[in-house]
Parts: sequence; C-alpha cells; structure tokens
Amino acid sequence: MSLVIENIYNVLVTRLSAVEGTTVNSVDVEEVVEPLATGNVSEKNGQFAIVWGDSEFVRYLNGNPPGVEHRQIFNIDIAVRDEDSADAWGLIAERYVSAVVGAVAGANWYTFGGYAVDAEFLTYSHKDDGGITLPLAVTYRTSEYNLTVQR
Amino acid sequence: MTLHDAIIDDAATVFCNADDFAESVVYNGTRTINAVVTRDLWVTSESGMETPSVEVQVANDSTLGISSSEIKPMKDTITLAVRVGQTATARTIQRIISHDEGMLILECH
Repeated sequence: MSLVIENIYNVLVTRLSAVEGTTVNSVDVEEVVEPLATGNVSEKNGQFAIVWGDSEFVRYLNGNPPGVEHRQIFNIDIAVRDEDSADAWGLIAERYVSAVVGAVAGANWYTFGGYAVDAEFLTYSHKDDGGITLPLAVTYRTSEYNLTVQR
Repeated sequence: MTLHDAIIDDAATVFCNADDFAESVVYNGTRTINAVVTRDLWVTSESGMETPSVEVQVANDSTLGISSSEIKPMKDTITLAVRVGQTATARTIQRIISHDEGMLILECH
C-alpha cells in the first residue's frame, strides 16, 4: 500500500511529465527527472528536477479516529542557462516558472487527485548556477500511526 | 614548429594520451575523443539534490577534442562512466572551468 504522500508525488510527476519535450511560453521543457541516490541527474537547460524537501507535522487532528496533518515541500529545480537565447535571462526564468505552474495547477489542482487538502507555490529563489528553485508546499492528512491511511 | 604550435599538438598527443592517463569519451554522442577525467567530486544543490561532478580535460580542438568556440554549456554532453567500471552515461557540460589554446577543463554533472 502506498504512502499518501507517495500518491501525491506520483500525481505531481505525472502532471509535470505531461509537458516534457514540449515548448511552453516560448521555452523548451527538455526533461522532467526524479533524482535517485545514484546521482542520475545531469542538469541541462530546460530540465525540471523534482526534489523532496522538508516535511513537517502541522498539527494533530482530534476526532475518532484522530489524524495528523502534514506539510511536504517539493522543490522543483529548474535548470536555466541558454547561451543561444537573445532574451533576458530573468525573463526566460519567469517563463519556466510559468510553465511549471501551468502544468501543475488547474481546477481543484491542490487536492492532487483527492489525496491532499491544500497546496501552494512558495517564493522561488535563484540558484548560484543560474537556475531556479520553485518550492511547492502540499498539505495532507493521514492516520496518526499509519501514513498510508488518509484522513 | 613554434612553441605555440607544439603546445597545441602536445595537448592531444601527450596530455590526452590514452596509453597514460586519458580515456576514451564521446562528445555529443558522435565524436570519440580522449580525455583525462577526474572523478572525486560531488555537488549538492541548494534544494538538497546530490549530483556527481567530474572534471574533464580535453584538447581545445574540433577534431581531436572539443573546440572552445563550439561548446554549449548546459546543452552539450560528454558520455563517460561516472564511476570507473560502470556503464557510460551522457553527462551535461555545466561550464568551462578554464581554457587556453591548447586545453579545456570542463565541469560535467
């Protein structure tokens, strides 16, 4: 049985993968990758890497049965450096951010297939290597002792 | 032959000699060249993603190595084994660490 957060993650991967190999807002999405422990990711321009970030217990939910609310951060690393482009680098970066938001968000997008109760994009930051990290915070609820059981 | 020419010639035939420290790698999936690869690096991104980083020294030459004028960081690849003995995979050239008319030192992730 899958973890609730695993189901959310799979929905996120599916949504982002839908734009892989396409051109969105005049920028090319080269690939969408999931980092493995082997270090499989080789950053390239236009790549989205879905990196698991911090997770926190938000609060306990009283009731019968009780539950726990969690908040998981997914950092979407966008590799941006195109020496062939004549457009301002910051504009290109903004286009990529827009491509991610457009792929992930939509009507009732924050439920991630009914597994989450809320989701929001947080402030993105520019990385030293020229890319962008766009954090996505997802709130979901589980049983207090079994993270595969949704509440 | 001038010293300048000798240095450029030595870059491919001496520094990148596969009988010594160099090995065969593939540039952009088509050009097989010799390179000296240093594999003792890992980098951690600000989001926490760990990636192996290798330093690749090649001749600054569009036939025997890679020309500094043709290279496109974050797009071009070098196919090499990240760990000696493992299957070679295409790794993207992140940046040119340094270069002169004889050699290029490249960072690949």
